[in-house]
Amino acid sequence: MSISVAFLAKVIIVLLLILLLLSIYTVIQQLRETDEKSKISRYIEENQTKWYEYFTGDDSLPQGLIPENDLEIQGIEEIFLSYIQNLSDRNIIGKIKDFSNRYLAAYYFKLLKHRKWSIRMNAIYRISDFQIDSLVDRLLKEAQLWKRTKITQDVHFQLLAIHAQFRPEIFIEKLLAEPMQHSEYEYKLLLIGIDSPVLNRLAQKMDKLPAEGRHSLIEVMGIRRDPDFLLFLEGNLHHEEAEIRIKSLRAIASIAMVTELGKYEHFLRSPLWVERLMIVKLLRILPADERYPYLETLLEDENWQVRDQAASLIANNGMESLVIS
Amino acid sequence: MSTIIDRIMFFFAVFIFIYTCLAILTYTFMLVSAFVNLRREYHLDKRELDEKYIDDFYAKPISIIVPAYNEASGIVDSVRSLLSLRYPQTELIVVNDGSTDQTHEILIKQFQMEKINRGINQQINTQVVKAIYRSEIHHNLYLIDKENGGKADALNAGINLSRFPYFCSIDGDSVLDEKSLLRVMKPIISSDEKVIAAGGNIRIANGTSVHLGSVDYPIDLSNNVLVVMQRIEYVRAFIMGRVALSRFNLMLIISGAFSVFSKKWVIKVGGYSVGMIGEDMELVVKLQRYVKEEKLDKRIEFVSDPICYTEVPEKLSDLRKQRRRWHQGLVDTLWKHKKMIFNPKYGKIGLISLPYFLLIECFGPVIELGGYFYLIIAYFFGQVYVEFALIFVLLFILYGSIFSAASIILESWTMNTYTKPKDFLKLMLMSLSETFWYRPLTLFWRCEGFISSLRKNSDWGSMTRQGFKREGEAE
Repeated sequence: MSISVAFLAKVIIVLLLILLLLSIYTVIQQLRETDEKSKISRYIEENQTKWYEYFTGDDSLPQGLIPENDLEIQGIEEIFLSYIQNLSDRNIIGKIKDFSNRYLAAYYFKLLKHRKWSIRMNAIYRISDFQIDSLVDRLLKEAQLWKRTKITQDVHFQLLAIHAQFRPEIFIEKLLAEPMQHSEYEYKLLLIGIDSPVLNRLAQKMDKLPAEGRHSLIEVMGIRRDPDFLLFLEGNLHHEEAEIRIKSLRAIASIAMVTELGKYEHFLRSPLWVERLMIVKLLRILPADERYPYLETLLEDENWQVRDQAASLIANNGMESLVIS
Repeated sequence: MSTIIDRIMFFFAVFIFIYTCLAILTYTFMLVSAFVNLRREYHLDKRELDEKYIDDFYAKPISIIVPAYNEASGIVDSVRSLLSLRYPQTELIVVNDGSTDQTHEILIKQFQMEKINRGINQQINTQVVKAIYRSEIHHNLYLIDKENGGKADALNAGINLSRFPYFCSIDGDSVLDEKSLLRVMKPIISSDEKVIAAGGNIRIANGTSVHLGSVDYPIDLSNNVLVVMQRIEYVRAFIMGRVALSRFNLMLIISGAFSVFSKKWVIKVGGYSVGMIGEDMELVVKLQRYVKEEKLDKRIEFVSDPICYTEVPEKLSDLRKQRRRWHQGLVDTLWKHKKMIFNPKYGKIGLISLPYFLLIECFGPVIELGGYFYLIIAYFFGQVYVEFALIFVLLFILYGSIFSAASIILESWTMNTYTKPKDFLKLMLMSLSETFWYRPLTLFWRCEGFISSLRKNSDWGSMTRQGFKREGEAE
């Protein structure tokens, strides 16, 4: 064996020394972090009542609440987050927004330039949480510099979310221009907060979106239940992609409105059972006597789920029409 | 004669040396990979993600299945912790697998459970279900009382009763952190269900107080040296091992103590295999096998921040039983799926993951223990062999103690573990002692497991539960 005991012993000693140094460093770091956490806790304890009084009262901001150092800002951050996550009072959210734009923007801009990815991400989260619109341009400019190195999937998504929140006028352009792929879930997160006119504009360019984006767009329309989307959704009923047709049917069933029943009749003979099932769901919006002839056909369907849903729709609210027919 | 002995001794020396060097290289790669992955997210505020995932619009409902066999001392805390989880829609199914203690009675009394008539979709065959109960105070809490059939059978019975598309299996003696379910579901939701199973991180909480179903912080390090050594082992296995394997979609184990599965895929592979000891590992291997055979784009992931607290053995006899059982489970699973090993048809799983488990995890104890015997024999054979033996001692220190100590540092740097500086130093010192007493012991027990596997022993392998210290609990 070419390796010697002395050599290995030296390696072990060096590694042990490194471990010793790292241990000392870790303990010092832990003590420092514990100290910082206790200072932040103390700030919250001493000032949370003052913040409550400021948020709920009509008085102007007391001088004592303006932060003097980073630890106080971190304390304020905790207080603000607890309000944002638990309340939706416009007045309080407005005060948080004003304060953050005035006193916290410089701190978060500093974090945006931090070398650590996680700290930069936290800064982007806070810009969104506290609606620090004064920082958005600087954030987007800064992000151009990140692109020169390597922009991660998470950063890319968060930047799109910032566009959706603060720059809806260029959001569609950004969404279509950026090549990075996101999951259906992520597209849903992005689109759920977008205003209906912007969604309708995006719908006109749906084919430029990847499959995940197209599916989410239609799902979000169903969740919104806005009749403004009806024409677009009905326009998809002959789309070549089955998933688009099915999701559009589901969204229409959720909006609970149709322009003309004839547009849907061909689905009664669809080779896809899910499409026939969606028609059963859609028939709920018709009066019992109008829907019965269709349900009668679907009761003979080859798929048990379609038959089951059709039967339960008749059973739930169909006795009268059954008698009439 | 002496030449033959010399050659045999030399052969074993070279063999053990090469093997240990390869294992050290593998662990080094895993340590570096885990460091890069975890350190990146250290400062990230994960509350942001929790808030996004909490809306039931996005979240997928989960059936939580708790198999219980003689878990009377810990089951109430476990159920309470599960009832207090932050997750929009869950149902909790406790499966009493023919316990001979008071598990059944305690649950009925504590949660005011009443017998109900609810149909079971028998998608997987199980032992006879005697009765189904539902809690009068928590309407999403169910109890299945069934005849004893083993842990796998109990989990299958829970799957049959479950209504939701995902199920989470949790051991009866475990307590979950309130955000655990949200965080373990994150990769499943955000990947549009490409992730079909995810496992969380397991932490040791012997002696920890549980207050109304939640673990009290900070968690003190146990005074029991066996518990301390297991804490080090868990950190090494979860932080160093699984993070790296998960990163490259090489997962073959997600802990049976806390994992989430997509029910559809589990039913497709026939559920948990009854009669096998390592049913949790075997299920993951079966899923990976199915994914590769059907050429599906699916993943199985380990998520490091959802935390599940569990009790570990405090006595040598219990620890020995556990380690024998675990190793037997590993050997049985590898044997059952031997067709996949070194088979390019199974991609990275067949060419990297399974060979790693076979050579490092399965045969490792036999070879390592052989190394320890070599040290003893070398002592009697004189100068040359003593030098070999010294090299082995140093390699074993590197392989055992140094990596364990490095894992403890890695954990402190990357996770909010609430470890006090005093406890951290204690863990560091104890990890350095690992090579000299704890590792040989566990190696010996794992070798026993190897032998048991050949003899096909199987049981639930019960251990003496201390139960968490309970506060605020109505008697």
